[in-house]
Amino acid sequence: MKAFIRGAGVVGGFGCGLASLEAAIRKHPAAAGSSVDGFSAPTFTSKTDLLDRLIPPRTLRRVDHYARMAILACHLALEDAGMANGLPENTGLVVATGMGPTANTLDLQPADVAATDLALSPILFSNSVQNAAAAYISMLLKVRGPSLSINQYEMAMPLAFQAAIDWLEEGRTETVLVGSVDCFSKALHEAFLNCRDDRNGDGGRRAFPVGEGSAFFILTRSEAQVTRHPFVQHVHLGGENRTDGKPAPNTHVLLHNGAGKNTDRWGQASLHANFAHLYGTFPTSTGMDVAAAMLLLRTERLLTRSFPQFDGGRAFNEDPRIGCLKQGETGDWGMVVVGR
Amino acid sequence: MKRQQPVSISGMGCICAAGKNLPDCMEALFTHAPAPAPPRAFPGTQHPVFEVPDRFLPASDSPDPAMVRAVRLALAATNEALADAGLTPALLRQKRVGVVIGTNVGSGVSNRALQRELGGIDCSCLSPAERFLTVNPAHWIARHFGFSGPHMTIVNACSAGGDAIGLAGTWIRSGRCDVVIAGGTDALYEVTYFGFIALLNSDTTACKPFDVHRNGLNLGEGAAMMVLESEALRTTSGRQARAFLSGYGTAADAYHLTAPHPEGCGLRIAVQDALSAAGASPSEIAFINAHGTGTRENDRVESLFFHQVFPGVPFGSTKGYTGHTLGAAGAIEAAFTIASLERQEIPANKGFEAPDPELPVHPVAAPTAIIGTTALSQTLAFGGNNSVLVFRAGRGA
Repeated sequence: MKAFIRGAGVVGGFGCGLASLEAAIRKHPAAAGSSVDGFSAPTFTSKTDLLDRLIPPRTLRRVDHYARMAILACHLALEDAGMANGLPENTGLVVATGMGPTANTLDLQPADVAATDLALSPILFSNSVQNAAAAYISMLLKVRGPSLSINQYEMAMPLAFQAAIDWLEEGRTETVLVGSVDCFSKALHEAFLNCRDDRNGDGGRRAFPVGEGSAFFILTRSEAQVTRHPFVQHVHLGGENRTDGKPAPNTHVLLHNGAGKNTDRWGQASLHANFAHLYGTFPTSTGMDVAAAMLLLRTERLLTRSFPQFDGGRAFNEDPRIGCLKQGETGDWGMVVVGR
Repeated sequence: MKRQQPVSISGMGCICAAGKNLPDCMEALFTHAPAPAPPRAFPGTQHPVFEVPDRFLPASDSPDPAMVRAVRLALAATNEALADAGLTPALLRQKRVGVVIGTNVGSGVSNRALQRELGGIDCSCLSPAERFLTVNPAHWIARHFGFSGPHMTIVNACSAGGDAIGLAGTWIRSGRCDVVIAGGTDALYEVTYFGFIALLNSDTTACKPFDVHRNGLNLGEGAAMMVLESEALRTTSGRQARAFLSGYGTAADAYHLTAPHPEGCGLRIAVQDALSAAGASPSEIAFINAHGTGTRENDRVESLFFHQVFPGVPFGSTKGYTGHTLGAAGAIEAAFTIASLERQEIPANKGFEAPDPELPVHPVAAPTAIIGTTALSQTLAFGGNNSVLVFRAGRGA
């Protein structure tokens, strides 16, 4: 079943909103990032100041950076969809994370600290619970549909899209707000230092900084409500020993941002690209890739600028498909295919 | 919500403070309930918990040293569920077998939990990816058995185990999987233990769900897993279903981070969806396994809701036997619900002695015979998640 994207919001090292991401793609800067105190490698961290202009700061006084990124991305998705009056009350919510909020809260406190000395406050503990971001989003947007928080490291975002499409398909809801969030942490920094040597769009290899951010999408079943954005055609899940799902399709363009090195097995005819130089690499970066794919499909000039060798060929114009591939360190892979 | 095709449940496994397997747990629920005690895992602390005795964990289970307790519990329950279904890993190797597990502790990069399991050994030698995979129960179970389908860990706090079973039904109905191993697991962990104390939600004595003197929950640990399979596979193999998952509903309160909606707004939607999916009416429900944590607000909301929607339907909480097992609770209580349907009897709501005059209806105070083939299990979670499962008795019942 196609799931139509009615709106999208992104928060990352490039800034806030689709316009910022589009500007970053146009500019096509080299991997840079900025330094964070105490960490050796550059990173792409996100600013959420904009949220304080959208929601009274008092309302957000207990909300941590992890949930703030997710809330801001959701608000930007609503704005992009032109849904100023909010989402339908029965909107479903799926939040994917690779490491969850605990990476920066309680979970990484030194093990040699006595349990009784853990710096626990009710707020810190509450924010460390893995579905805290989903809880804040549902409270602030007043959505009471089904709610799901998934923590499956690099496969979390493909699984989240799959769950959202399942809900639409079985009629559990007509609208789903689906997205991802991961925040920079010592663990994330360590996790990706050793595996950030990904293939870039030129076929070479390039090291990318660690990133953080959030990307949310408003999915609907009805094409009638959709004006500008592409649709999610399929979600494919598989692995080295996996038999589920259909074989990964050939796509015109393949965006990838994961640990896997062997991307040649997917779509020999595809153009390969990696936009991690715009937002860094992190477990749920598939959300950013899907947003980038949306922009490429929406704006042909952006596509030909990003892939001059393809030059807007006829085949692409007829039935364009972009596959957003995440290869996990364990051999699992997930691909979200976006079409126009 | 449209009516949905029921999904057969052909095997179940459970391990918690009440017993090392599901039959033992059910025996304990009707004969010799365990009592909570200060946690051995955190010496010097007093708030009582329901710990799983180490002797409950299978002796033959020689765990990988990096396998955290939540995963060990899930593995024990999975082994029991597969044996109960008459399935072996070899039989399943040619099938599309998915794994969906709900948890709180078994997710993320639980360095503290992992380091404790490793006996204080510095686990910085493990990459964070390895640390994640070590504590992720769905990944572990899929890898351990060589299952070839998708696997997903759900972190919907206290409703995660119920949500896992509900989503497993979708995976079967969609044709994505032939078999799904679904359930929940959680182990005691100092962050949650001291967290609930910080929230003033932890009782200093045994919990008393729905009692006038209730004063909070007791944490517990455990796991329950179910084998859900496609009707085509089950009928081909001639296996009998122990029960059918006939409805699943889930909805958010959109109200408060740690407190339920005072009128049970999300719970009402979740129950409506679950009943619609099952094609059932409230009057068909033989009994309800309530969330019944023993906290003042949760029990008040549930009692009010039962009074309004399920008048006269017997209900009870089983947390007085297991403690609140968080991400495992929805799955453990789902297993108890099915086993109670099979017995046509529900256990006493342990801890309930003095009715609260502010509550309109009260749980069963003694083991109670039930009449009917349909039952409901509900969980209310941190963050306002509400999840409801409707089960129908299997053909063997």
